[in-house]
Amino acid sequence: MRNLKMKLNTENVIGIGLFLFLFIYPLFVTPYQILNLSYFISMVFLTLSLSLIWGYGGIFSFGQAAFFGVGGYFYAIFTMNSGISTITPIGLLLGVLVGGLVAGIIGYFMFYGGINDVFVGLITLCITVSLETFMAQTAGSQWKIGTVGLGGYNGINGIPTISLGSFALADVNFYYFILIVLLVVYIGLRLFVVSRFGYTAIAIRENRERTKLLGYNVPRFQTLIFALGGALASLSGILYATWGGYMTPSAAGLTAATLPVVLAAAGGRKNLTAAMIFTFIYYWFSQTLSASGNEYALVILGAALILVILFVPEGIIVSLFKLGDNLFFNRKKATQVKAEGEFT
Amino acid sequence: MSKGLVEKSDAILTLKGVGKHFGGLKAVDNIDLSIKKGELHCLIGPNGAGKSTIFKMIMGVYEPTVGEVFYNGKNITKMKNWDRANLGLSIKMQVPGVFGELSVYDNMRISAQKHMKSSERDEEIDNLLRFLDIIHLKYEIVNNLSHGQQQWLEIGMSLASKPELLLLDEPAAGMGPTETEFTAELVQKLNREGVTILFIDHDMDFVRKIAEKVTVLHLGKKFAEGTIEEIEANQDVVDIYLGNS
Amino acid sequence: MAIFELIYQFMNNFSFLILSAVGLAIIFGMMGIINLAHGEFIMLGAYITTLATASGVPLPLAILLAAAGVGVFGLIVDRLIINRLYGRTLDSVVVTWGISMILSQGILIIFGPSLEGSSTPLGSISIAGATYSTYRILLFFIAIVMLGIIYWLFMHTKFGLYSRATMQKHDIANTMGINTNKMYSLTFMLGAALAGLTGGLYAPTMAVSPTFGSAFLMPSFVTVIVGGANPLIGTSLSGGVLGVVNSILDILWGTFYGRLGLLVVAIIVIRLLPLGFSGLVEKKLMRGRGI
Repeated sequence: MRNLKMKLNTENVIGIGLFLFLFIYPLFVTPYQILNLSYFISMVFLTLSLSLIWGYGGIFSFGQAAFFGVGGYFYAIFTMNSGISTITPIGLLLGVLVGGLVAGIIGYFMFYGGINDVFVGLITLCITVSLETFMAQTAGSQWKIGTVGLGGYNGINGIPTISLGSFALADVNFYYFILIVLLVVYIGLRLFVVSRFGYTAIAIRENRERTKLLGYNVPRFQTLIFALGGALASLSGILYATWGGYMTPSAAGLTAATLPVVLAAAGGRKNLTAAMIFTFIYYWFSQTLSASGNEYALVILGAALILVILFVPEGIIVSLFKLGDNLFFNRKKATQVKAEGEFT
Repeated sequence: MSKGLVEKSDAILTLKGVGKHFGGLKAVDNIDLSIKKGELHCLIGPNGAGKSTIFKMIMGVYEPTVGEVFYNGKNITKMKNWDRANLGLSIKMQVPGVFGELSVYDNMRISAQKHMKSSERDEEIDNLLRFLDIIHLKYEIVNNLSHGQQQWLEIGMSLASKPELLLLDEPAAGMGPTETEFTAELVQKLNREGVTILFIDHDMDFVRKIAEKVTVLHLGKKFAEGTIEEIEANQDVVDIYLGNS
Repeated sequence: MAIFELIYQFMNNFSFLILSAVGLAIIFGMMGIINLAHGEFIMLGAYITTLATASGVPLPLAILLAAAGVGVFGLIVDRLIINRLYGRTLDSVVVTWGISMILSQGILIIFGPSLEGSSTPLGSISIAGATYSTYRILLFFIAIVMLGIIYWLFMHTKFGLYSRATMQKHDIANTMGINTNKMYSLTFMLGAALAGLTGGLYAPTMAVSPTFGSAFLMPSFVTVIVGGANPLIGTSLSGGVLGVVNSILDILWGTFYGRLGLLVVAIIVIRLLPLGFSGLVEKKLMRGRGI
């Protein structure tokens, strides 16, 4: 199987290096820093979900935050209603499925209806805003599902952490759990994009009409990949909710919807590793800035975004990967198997 | 003079009274067309005669305003275009329909993976690329290829889908004499291997060299049909078309 | 009387939808650029108007000042950034998002979380026992007049002719000697100026803060989605249809369901007419002319 032979290039070296670093990181830092990094990791899934559907499938979505919210709220309502800690892993799995299902239904209506490109962006934007608006007005006591109040703008508090049997995943354990999930998802996605389905997604991204004439049921593939992206975003929301024990409408709102777009675009949307790395950099940077009380953080971020699109439209991290390939791996054709990714 | 070795049996493709109207304009008006299995059939006609529109209706890019399309006796008038492709219909369009940002291999794989087992896929791709004489470009980004090479790649993508009926919209457009020669041989070789081919071309030397049967379109209607000799002997055709070029 | 209430509500919603969407629609329809900073342009207009009235400028003048100010700002943004992105729709989405981040945070840094607002002028009138804001009724007529002016601008001026040519076939317009880049810049400026105007018009009716624009964002996008690429016919029609739906739902079940209704209409329309009302109208016109 030539597909399983891994290529030596900057992306893979950095990717492996990053995971090694993340695995030994807790040995050197305080529990507070571990907690922070757990948060970063939970948000990486959200960027990966957009990188998958936008970078590979060519579907531009502002809806990932909505699926994030669906996951987080579902997990909260499900686990808090049951009240049994051993049910939390089931809540996690069900939540991922529900997120995928909701995305699949929305995707079905859009893609079978012939909606594409920026219109998908606009519709998903509307969906996200509606969900945020809806959740924010659920403060009253009539907004209850089972015993759990939706809490309006303040959201739901006291969401239980994930427990394996009677063993609750907290602090370092939660960190390692979420890190292993990330590793599995990351490898899964890397394998996915060189699979048959992955190639189909790339073909659809490059030219929808041509792909149809090659015999592909394009709306079906778009719906499937959109559902997969929704499931990933939902996973992100669930991990976020268990991390902090709370879920609010604004975490699933408009600002949250645009952030993955920005992160994927700035890092390099056609490259999962780049999107992941840039997400870490962004969260580290913004937390450092806001910890120092810097009100210019958002201004700097906005300016950085504009400069990236104007001057390195492929994405910063991807451009660095290419530079690295040219310097260290002497690949005359660094771009030659663009679509094949790592496992050539 | 039969150029194909396969016996010309039943019609593989039949158009019955097909028309395509854009508002009041009848781009294609009440066309009957029958392509037999194994045929190498050419559509000619001046610009705006409706040739490309017919191709698009056969592939399902446009739905006909009136009339019906049959493929192997099956009514496919309203079938989705991807389902048609899976029946064995394949098209090489006028504007190269290749994925320019991807490599030659990626392009071939996108087409091939739909129709081949993954164990034999890469070997088949290599065979096709050798057949088309572009194996040395396997990992090149398609946008870096010459126009002719892109056309051949697109024919290769069509072949990877193991088509029964191949539609070629101006297969030799924009090619030099050597490239045109190679394309003509390619098309004939494919036809001898049993692929039914319907193509559009303006280059009468090219048409004369390979076409067994020619249908002339004019202003959306079928104007004449016959062998190339009959067509070239037809004074009306010369007046509307050949005379102009 | 419920009927007056419904009419008032419709006038109110219609003008809100039209005014919030028109700048966005012109930029999207003519240039294919989705301006995510549209809400922040509206917010800038509100700031200009509020600051101007606070320093003694009469309100009508302050509103025009907002249109002019944001128009010039739009031109600068276009020359510096947007003109490098013509034809790159998705990149323009990301970039205009960056612009909106800078604007809202920048305004927060300079002016703080909110401005001292002025109250809605012109008082109210009373019909059949219920009171209605005169200013909001005036806004309805302003929206209608503005649509008329835009119609005149696009159908009866050289700018309109050139910009329609540019919208149809920009490469051909280019070869015919139309400076399409200049047309795009002017279009972007016009769209920005209309956003500024909207901000100025609504400044006296709402709390002026850095998030002022967010109230306009969803309605404006829905109107443009439903309307399609034609900024005039599409926007007017979709403003009308959405205005009716919104008003009925508002009265029956409250504001939230009014907004949700907008969304549902948007999804249904785009499912049935992917090009929005513009697509429908253009198809009908083509048939009518026998083309």
